[in-house]
Amino acid sequence: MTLGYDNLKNYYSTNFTLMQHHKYSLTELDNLIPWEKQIYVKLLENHVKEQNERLKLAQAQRRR
Amino acid sequence: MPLPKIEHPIHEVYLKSLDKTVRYRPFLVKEEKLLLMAKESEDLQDILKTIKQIISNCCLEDIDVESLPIFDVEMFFIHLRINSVGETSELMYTCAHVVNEEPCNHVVEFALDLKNVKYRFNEQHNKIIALTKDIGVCMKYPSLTLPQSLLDDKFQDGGYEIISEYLDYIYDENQTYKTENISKEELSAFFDDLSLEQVKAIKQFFITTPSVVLEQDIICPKCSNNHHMVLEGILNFFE
Repeated sequence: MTLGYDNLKNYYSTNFTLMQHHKYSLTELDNLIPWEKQIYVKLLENHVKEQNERLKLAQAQRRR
Repeated sequence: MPLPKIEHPIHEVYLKSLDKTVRYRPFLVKEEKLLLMAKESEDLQDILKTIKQIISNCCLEDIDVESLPIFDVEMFFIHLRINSVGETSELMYTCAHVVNEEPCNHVVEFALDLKNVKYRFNEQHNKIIALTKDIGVCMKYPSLTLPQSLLDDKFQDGGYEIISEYLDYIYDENQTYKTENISKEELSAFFDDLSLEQVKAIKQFFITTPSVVLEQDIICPKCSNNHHMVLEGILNFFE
C-alpha cells in the first residue's frame, strides 16, 4: 500500500534501465521524490512507445 | 562558501500529542529504498526503525521521534506517503457479502483516498487518572520504541509491567513521583495495593488511546453491497 513499487527487485531493475539506457545517474534518481520518478518513468515509457510506433511506421513505408 | 542546498517542497502536518503543526519534506527515492528493504525483511523491529529514521530525516523541526506516540507517527507517516508517493493507494478487497447463501467472493479493486485520514479520539480519554481523591497516575502514550521487556515477552504479573512501562508519574496531594525515580519493588507494591476498579481505570487509558483511521465506502460491482472499510495500524502499510 505504501510505495510505488511492489518489490525491491523492480526498484533496482527500474533504476538500472534508467541509468543504462537513458543516461540518468544514481545520485539524480536517489534525490528525486518518488512521485517525480514515477512521472519520469511514465513519460519515458510513452516516449519509447511513440518512438517504436514511428520506427514501425517507417519500416512499413520502406517495405512498400 | 557553503555548498548550495537542494530544495524540496515543504508540507505541514498537525500532531495531536504535541498540539502543534510540524513542517516536513517528502521522503526521497533513496529513503523509499530503505522502506522497501524493511518491508522485504518482514522484521517488525526493522520496519519500525526505518519508519522512525525516515520521519526523523524528513521532519524539519526538532521533535523526539523515539517518544512520539504511535498515533502521531501514523499520522505523520501517512502524510509523508501522500506527499512523497501520491494521495491514493490501490487496494484489493474480497467481498464477503452473502448472496443466495453463498459468499460473493468478488475481488474489488479500489483506490483508497489517503487524504481521508483522521484521528479517532474518545471523549472519555484522559492521560491523568485519579485513583483516589488525592492520588493518581499520569500515563504516557506507547511509541514505536517498544520496551525491551515487551520484546522479551517477560510479562508474568497480570500486565502490571506493561502499565508501568507507560506510567509517566504518580502524584499525591504533595508532589509527583517520576517513574524513573521509583524502584521496581516500590512500583510493584504500589500496583499490588490497587483495587480491581483502579486497575480497570488505568487499563481504560490503553483502550481509549487515540488512533488514526482511514475510512472509505466501497460498492461491490457484482452484488452491489456497500462495504465500509476501516483501516487502522501502521503495519497495514507494509502488507
